[in-house]
Amino acid sequence: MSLLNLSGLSVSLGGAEVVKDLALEIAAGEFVGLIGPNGAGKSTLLRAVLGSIRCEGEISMDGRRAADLSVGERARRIAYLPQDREIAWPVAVERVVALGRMPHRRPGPGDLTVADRTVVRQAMEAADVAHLEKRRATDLSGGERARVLIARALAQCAPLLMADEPTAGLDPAHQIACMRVFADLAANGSSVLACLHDLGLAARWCTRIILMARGRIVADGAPRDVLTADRLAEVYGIRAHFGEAEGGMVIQPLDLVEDVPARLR
Amino acid sequence: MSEIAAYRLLLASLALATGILFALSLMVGPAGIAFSDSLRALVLGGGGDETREAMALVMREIRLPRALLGLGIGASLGLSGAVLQGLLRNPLAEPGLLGVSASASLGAVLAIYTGLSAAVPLGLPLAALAGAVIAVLVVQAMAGGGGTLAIILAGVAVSSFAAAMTSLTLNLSPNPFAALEIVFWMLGSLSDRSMTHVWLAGPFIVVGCVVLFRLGPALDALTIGNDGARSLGVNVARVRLFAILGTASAVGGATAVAGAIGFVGLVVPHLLRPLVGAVPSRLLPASALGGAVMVLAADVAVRLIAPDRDLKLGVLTSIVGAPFFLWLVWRARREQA
Amino acid sequence: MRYLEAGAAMVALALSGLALIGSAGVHAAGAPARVVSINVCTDQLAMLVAETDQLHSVSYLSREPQNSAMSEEAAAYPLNHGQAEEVFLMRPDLVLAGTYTRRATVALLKRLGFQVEQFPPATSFDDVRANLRRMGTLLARPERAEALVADLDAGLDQARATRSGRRVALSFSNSYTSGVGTLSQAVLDAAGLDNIAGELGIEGTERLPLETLIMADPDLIVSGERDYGAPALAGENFRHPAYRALARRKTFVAVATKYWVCGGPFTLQAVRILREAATASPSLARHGE
Repeated sequence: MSLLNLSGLSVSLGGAEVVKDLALEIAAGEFVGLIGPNGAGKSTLLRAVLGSIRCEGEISMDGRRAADLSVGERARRIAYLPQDREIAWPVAVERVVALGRMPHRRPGPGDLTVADRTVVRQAMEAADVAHLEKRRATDLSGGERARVLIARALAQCAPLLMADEPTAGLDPAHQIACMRVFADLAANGSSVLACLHDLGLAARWCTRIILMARGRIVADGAPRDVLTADRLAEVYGIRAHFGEAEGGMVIQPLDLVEDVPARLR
Repeated sequence: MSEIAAYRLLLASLALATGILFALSLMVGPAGIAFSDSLRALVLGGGGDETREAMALVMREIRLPRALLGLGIGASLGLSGAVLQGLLRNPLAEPGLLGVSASASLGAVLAIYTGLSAAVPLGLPLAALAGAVIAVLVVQAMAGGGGTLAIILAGVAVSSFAAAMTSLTLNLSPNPFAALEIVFWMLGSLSDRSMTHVWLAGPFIVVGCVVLFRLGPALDALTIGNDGARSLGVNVARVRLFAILGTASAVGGATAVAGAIGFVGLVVPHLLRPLVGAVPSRLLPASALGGAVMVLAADVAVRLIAPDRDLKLGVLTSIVGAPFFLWLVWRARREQA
Repeated sequence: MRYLEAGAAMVALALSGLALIGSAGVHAAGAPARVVSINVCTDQLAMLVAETDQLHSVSYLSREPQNSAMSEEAAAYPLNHGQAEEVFLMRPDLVLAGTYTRRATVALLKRLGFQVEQFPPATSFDDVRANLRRMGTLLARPERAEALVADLDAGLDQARATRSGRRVALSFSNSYTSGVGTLSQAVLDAAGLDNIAGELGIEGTERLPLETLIMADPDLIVSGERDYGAPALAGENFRHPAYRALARRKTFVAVATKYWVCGGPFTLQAVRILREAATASPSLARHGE
C-alpha cells in the first residue's frame, strides 16, 4: 500500500500557483530525493502534505484521506523536518529530540516511558548528537542544531519522513551520515521524501528521484533515468560530469551551459 | 531524575513563597489587628462581640478578597506572559507590552462609565475580555510573522490607542471624579476591593488559567516552530485561538477589577526560564506561582511604603519591570549584532 | 429666623433702591459694575452679596445642583467656563476666583490688566464670615454682607447643640475623610458631634481606609453626595459589602455636598441636618439627653 498518494494537487501562494495539478505516490521502502531549482515548489509541496498550507486536490496517507485524519493521526504517519532550524528556547538537546515522541504519548503530563527513552537515545546516536544531550540547543553550531532536529524527526518513528534540505549546513561526513541514516530507514521499510540540492548525494543515496520545475514533476524514476545531461541543462541550466565509483553514480556539476535560460541571468 | 527533583523543588519553593505572601497580605493593613485575632476573625467570624464583629468584617470582606485577587491576578499575568512568549517564541511578549492590559482596561472603562456594568454586572469582565481579544488580534494581524520589533511596535500602538481612548472616555464623563481615575486604570490597584470583585473576576481568571495550563505540551512543540509543531500533531491554529481566549479571559477578568498592572508577565517568566531548563510547559506553573508572588509582594509593599496614599500597584511592578525591559532590549540588540 | 431673613431682604432692597436713586450711574461710586465669578464658591457668595445687575456671570458649576446650593439662582446669570478668553470678552471690571483653582487663567487675566480677587476656601465659620465681609467690601455692599453674617450667627446660635459625645465618621467618595482644619470639622463641631478623624490623628482631608473606618466603630456615618449622574469608581467604597454592613448597623446620614463644599450661609443647612440626625438617633436616648 502506498504511504502517500497525491492526485490533482495544486497550491496557490499569494495568487501564484506554486504547485500545479501534481500526482505522486510513495510506497514503503523508498528513499525519494525531491530535486529541482529554487522556486520549483518542493518545500511548498511538503508543507501542503503536512497540512500547513491550503491546497486543492486529494492527499491520502495509508489509503485514508488526509482530510479525514486528525492532526495527531497525521503526525503518527508522517514526520517532517522543516527547512529552518528554529529552536526558540535554550532547551536541553535531549528534550528537543524527545519532542519526537509527542504524537505517541497520551495527552497530559507524565514523563517518557522506557521505550520512549530508548527511541530517543537511538535517534540521537543516529544523528551523532548523543554527546550533546545535556547541552542547550541554542548554544550549538548551525550544523549541530540541524542534526539535533534530524534526531528529533527520527524519534517520531513515522512510516514516512519528509525532510526539507536535511543536509544543508552539514559537513561532508555528517551529510553522508545523514543520507546513510535515511537509506537505512528505507531499507527497513519506512520511506523518506527529502528535498535535496546536492545532486551528488541524491544520485548516490536515493532509490528514486523526482525532478520538479515550476510546480510540476518533470521526471520521476531511478537516479540514472532522471539525472541526464539533457535534463540538467534544461531544468537547471548546468552541465555536469557523470561518472561511476564504488558501484554508484557520481555527478559533479561543472558550469552553466552556454545558452543559460534567461531566468538565471 | 535530579532534573525533575529540581523542578519540583522550584515549584514547592514558589508555592511556599506564595503562601507566605498570601498570609502576609492578610496581616498587613491600616487597621493593625494582632496576628492571632485576625486569624480567629477570619476563620471563626465575629460571634456577637462588637469589636470581633468589626474584625471579622475587615478580615473577610476587605483583606481576604484583596489577597485572593492578588493571588489570582498575579497568576493570570505570570501565566499569560509565559504562554504568549511560548506562542510567539518571543521573550518580549507580555500582556502589558502587547496592549492586552490597556485594551482590557478600555473595555472595563467603557462598561463602567457608560453604566453598562451597573445594569449587567457581568458586562464588566466581558467588556474587558472583548478589549483583550481585540488587542491580541490586532497585534497578531499587524505583526504576524514579523520579528520582535514588529510585535513591540504593534503593542505600543495598541497600548497607546487604548490608553488614549480610556482617557477620553473618563474625561468626557460628567462625573467629576472620573478623570482622576485614569491613574487606576493605567497602573492598577487592589485597594478596597471586595468579594463582589472576586466573584466577578474569579470565574474568568480560573477558566482562563485552566485553558492556558492545558497548552503546555503544545508550547513545547512550538519550540521548533509552527511547522515543526504541526508535524508533531499540534493544531497550531487551535493553540493560538486557545492562547488568545485564555489570555483574554484571565487578563480581562484581572484587569476589569484591578486595572492594568504591567510587566509582571514579562519579568516573571524571564527570571524563571533558566530555572526550568527553558521548557515552556514547565514554565507555565512556575510563572503562575511567580506572578502571584510578584503581585502579592507588590501589594504588601504598597501598603507598607505608603499606608494612607493608595499607591498604585503598577508603580512598583513598573519600577522593577521597565529597567528589566530595557535590559532585555539591549541584550536582544547585542545578540542580533 | 424667618423674621431676620425677611429683614435682611428688606435692607437689601432698600439699599439697592438708594443706590438707584443716589448715583449718576447704576451703582455706588467706585463699586464694580460688571463682576464675573469663575469659581463655584465665589459664585455663591457673589450672588448673595451683589446688587441686581452688578454680577454679570457665574461659573457653569454653580448651576449644577450637586455642587451648588444656589443652582436655581444661578439660572439668572450667563455662565462662564473659567477660560481667560471668554472672561476677557465679558469685559469685567472685577473677576472673582478661588485661590487654588484656575491659576493659569488668573495669572493671564492679571497680566491683561484685569482686577482679579482670589478667595481662599473656607475652613471654618470664621473664614465664612471673613469671606462674606470681604465680598461686601469688594462689591461695595458691606451692609448686605453684615446682614448675611448676622444671619449666619443667628442660625449657628440656634443650631448649637451641647456636645452629644456621639462619634461620627465622615466618609466621602474614594474613601476620603476630613479632620481638623476643614469646614466639615467646623460643621461637626457646630452640630456637637465628635469626629473620629481626631482620634486617628487625621488633619485636613485624607484617605480613611475602609478597614480603619470599620475598626474605628463610629456611631454615625456621614456621607456627601454620591450621585453625580454618571458612574465612577470614586463611589465604589460606598458599594463595598463591608461598608454596607457597617452602614446597616450604624446611623447613616447623607448631607448633600452642595451645603459644605463651599462655606456660606447655606452651610447652616448641613449643621441642621446633622443635629437632627444626632437627636433622632435612638441610642441618643440611652445617653440620657
